[in-house]
Amino acid sequence: MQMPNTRQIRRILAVVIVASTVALVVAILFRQFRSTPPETASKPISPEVDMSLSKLTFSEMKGNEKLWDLTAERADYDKEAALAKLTGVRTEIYGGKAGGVTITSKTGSYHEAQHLVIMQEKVHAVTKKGMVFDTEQLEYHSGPGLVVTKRPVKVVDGRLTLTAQGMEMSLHQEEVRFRGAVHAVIEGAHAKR
Amino acid sequence: APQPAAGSPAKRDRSSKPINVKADELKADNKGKTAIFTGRVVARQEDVTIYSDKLIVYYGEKDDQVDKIEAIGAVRILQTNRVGTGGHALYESKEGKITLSINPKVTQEKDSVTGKVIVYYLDEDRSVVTSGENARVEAVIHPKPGSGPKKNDAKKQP
Repeated sequence: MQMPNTRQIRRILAVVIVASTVALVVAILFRQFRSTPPETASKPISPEVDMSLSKLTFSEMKGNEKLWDLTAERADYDKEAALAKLTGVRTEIYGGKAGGVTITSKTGSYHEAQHLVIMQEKVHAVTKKGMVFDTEQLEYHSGPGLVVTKRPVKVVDGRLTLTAQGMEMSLHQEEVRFRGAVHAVIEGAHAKR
Repeated sequence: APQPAAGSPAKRDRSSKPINVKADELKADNKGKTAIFTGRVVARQEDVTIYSDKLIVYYGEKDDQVDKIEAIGAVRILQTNRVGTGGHALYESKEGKITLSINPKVTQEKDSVTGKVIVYYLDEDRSVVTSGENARVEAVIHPKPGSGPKKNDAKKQP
């Protein structure tokens, strides 16, 4: 049997190299296309949301005095608008002559530039002195220490139960102003509180 | 001070009864322990209704009880067939009395009385009127029909 000469050997080697290169490229491409898409987030994030966080806490300090804490189940943060859309919200406001107030709601938003917290849907608030109020939307302006709503509100405060169309509570002055068709019932002296 | 007539109903403490208030605005001042209602105020406790421009509810120190209620501006108080009017009224529900001032007037059916200050007793059919410098007591009493002397009374002269 005649030994193949060096030219034939070189030709065979070249063919083998080219074939393996092609096979390698095909394998890479094949894996590229077949690989599963990256694991999508539980809720598709809308384009304007830069960051979506869950179980987070915001706090605002004044010097070394904490003004308030805000915790949320989820926050979708839009850097450009400096706005966080929140769900499962709880705001704990400290201090002030009213002694502080705890507000919870289903949804809300935090507007960084205006130091404004908006609470929406089933808003329920309780002050340290025991005043309770319920409404559908409420704003907390941390600068002037005001809690404001323009929506119907129901309030229970000791012997006083009332409904009104709007409310403005000053946490610093311990004063609350109600507007628009106020209807109040002041329980008698021996009624159970 | 004039004593209530014998047999007249005892003074009732109404402070245990709820007070219903309607108004355009309310300012609750926890520190000052007041609730200030303004704008077309209507306050009702049992058979007494107070209309005024402004109404201030003063809570007592103990247990947030209502200490007194002050009505200011175009005050009108209705209670069954009695009407009290004036520029100012102070309602003390524990004592069951209302003190009317600034041109006070109390009218009961056709009878009326005016003076400087009128104290109006809710559970007694009476008011106490005091005069002032330029506010003499003035009463207009209409005798009830048939309450005058009867004809045969006149014949029985001795």
